[in-house]
Amino acid sequence: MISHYPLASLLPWPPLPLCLELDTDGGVALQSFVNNLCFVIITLYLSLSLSLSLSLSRALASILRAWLDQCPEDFQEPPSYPSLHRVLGFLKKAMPDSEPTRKAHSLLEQLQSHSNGESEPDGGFHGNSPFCLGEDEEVEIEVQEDFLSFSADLVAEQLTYMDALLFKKVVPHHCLGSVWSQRDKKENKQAAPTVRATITQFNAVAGCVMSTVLHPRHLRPHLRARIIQRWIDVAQECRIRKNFSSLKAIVSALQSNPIYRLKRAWVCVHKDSMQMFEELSDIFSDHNNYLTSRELLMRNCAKEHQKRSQKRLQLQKDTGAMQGTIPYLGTFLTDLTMLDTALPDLVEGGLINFEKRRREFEVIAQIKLLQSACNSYCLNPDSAFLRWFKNQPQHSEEESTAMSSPVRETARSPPAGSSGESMDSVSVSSSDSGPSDSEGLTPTHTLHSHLNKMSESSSCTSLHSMDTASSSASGSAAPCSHRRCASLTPSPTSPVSPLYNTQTQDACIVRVSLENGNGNLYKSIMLVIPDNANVFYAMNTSANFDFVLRARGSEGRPVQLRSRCSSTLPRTQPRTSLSLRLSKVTL
Amino acid sequence: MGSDEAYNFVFKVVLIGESGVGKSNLLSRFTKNEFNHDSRTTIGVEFSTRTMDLNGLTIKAQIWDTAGLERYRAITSAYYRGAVGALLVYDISKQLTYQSAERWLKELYDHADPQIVVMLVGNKSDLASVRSVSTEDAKDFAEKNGLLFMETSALESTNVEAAFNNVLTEIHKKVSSKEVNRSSVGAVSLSNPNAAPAEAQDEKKPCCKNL
Repeated sequence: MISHYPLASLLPWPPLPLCLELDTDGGVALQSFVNNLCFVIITLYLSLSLSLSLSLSRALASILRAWLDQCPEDFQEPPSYPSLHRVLGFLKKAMPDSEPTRKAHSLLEQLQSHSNGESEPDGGFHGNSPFCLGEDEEVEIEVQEDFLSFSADLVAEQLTYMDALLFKKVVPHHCLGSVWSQRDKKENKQAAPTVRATITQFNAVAGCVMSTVLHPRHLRPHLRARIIQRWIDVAQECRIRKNFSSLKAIVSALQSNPIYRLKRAWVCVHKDSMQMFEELSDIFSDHNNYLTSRELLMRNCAKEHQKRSQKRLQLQKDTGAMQGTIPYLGTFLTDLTMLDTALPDLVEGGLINFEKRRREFEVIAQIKLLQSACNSYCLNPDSAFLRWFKNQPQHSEEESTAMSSPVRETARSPPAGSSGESMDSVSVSSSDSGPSDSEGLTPTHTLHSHLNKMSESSSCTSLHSMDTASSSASGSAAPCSHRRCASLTPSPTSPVSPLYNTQTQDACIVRVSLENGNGNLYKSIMLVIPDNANVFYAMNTSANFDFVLRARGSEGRPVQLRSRCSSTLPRTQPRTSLSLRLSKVTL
Repeated sequence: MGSDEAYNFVFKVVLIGESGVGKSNLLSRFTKNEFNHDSRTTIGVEFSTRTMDLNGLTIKAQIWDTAGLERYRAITSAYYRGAVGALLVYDISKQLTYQSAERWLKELYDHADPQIVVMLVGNKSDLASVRSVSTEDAKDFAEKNGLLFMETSALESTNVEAAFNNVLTEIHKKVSSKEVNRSSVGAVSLSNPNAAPAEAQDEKKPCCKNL
């Protein structure tokens, strides 16, 4: 049937698993098809070389070479490997000592030795993982590490490390609809293990998000919010690393019902984080057939390809910022499944539907391109994190739902993407429960970093302005112009401290000072009581709300000031290791 | 085809049911006419939408199929969220796919809007000779559970249009009787007509986080 087509039409495509043309009703048909196709190619080659059509016969040889190269498993016909023997016999005669001949030879040896060994496991980083760390893991029984003890940066890096390893191993044509969509059939239970492994990992990441957010059942909402915020930060770091797989896993998990409905926790999530979360969620919007994520993915990929110049590569390696792109494979799987469903294998007259193969190949080519870009990641495993990750319990959807039940308020919460109003007031007031909760107070990321920058840089002019304890914010800050009512700009004309600790309508100015006594900052907070809140949230008008910023002593990793800004998304300020601590709060 | 076109409503309809019952085939049949038109996407295909006229209104049907994604556990919620219609598909020649309908229904109601319009669809009616689920049984089950019911053949294109049309018409009936507010994207929620969808909440209250 192939001879009905001009041979040239065969050439632009490597003979993607042509064996899959057939309805996969068993190995026998498959083997004989491979064998027959080899026979056809060889016969064509011989007849063409007789007629001295050298370029065409060369093209045929390149097809054989590509076939051996890219789909070696097609020749997996133990115990006698008839097709491979046929090809090898031909190559030995037609082009001895050529590269394809050597290739075929080593493939045969490889397959033969492999058949004595074991088959590839279907694993992620859980259970019988193909990426065991090779350590005496169980010997040291550590205190259960806390998720928050890992920086967002580290978590994203390690997730990317795992995802990159798995994605590079994906056999692209296993994503084809004819393979992947048949995976649930009995005879295909072990089909496409490399694809399964990426999904296992995806589910493990999502499960990890679930268990860290839900597991401590009686966690206070603002502490839960901190974990959610941390995951949003991790997601953002994944975005920066162009790891769309874990990004999607985290975003999906945060949007899943068990977490989605934690209304009280979400209300405590800082507005900046919510905005970031919205932006990250938008990447995977289904609008226009997932146009956003598709464009982003391929733009990244193309860009990555352009800057392959050696110098650039080295430069990026030096700064540690070199990266590839890891796609969310699901989009490709859907596309390929739909292509396979919608387009027939054969066109009229029983001829191969090349249009279908061409379209499939376009998708496969994208996957391959991304895989090669993936080699750019320079990441090292962090055994502490990987061990922690591996030990995270995986809960079923039902279990997760049940876990989130005690803490939920209503069954249907507002969409996670909507901006929770008056979040700050809630998170501030929820810190009333004592010093042990003080780290739960995180409504001011930007505050952190501003202050941190200032304290690190002695030449910072605004620091001086703070030294003179002069903030321009005053008690007259009207709620209607609430934005920026606490200001860092020096106001030499008013050396008086602002009127703080006094509630004006629904706002109150609080004073935040650095522990080392480098200055005060006056900050207005909103005191709007959320609809779902009780009087607990109301602030005592006579209370003394002084906040002290302290450097956190027990940070596991040193703070890195990163200059990397590769994201196309607006970045928030780099996080710092300062944590805002509440010193004296009485209600 | 796509977003440039004017439409009055977007209805999100999900396909559910065991693997192998022909969900993707039904979708492919239904959206086939627009199959080759979308050149913006990477693969040049927009599988999942079809714009159609219903009583003078332009409805954009957005059909969601889990094609190839069944193993991604965490995306389930997103799949159901916002759906106003569902086709619960089983294979009339495979009793087991019918028996799981109850389980699918539960999962659907766990995640989706309680007002969702659901149709029980017995696919592969071309395989009547090996039928193992009687039409009467399925009809009874559908009636008991307040579902629409139809038998289809994606292969022979029997009743595919009718099934989707019925579901969309029924959704439209519910929507118009409730005077649902349309959000900026035109998606509709059946149960909560007063709550603006997330996308519409552009206005953000200024707050003290802005330093």
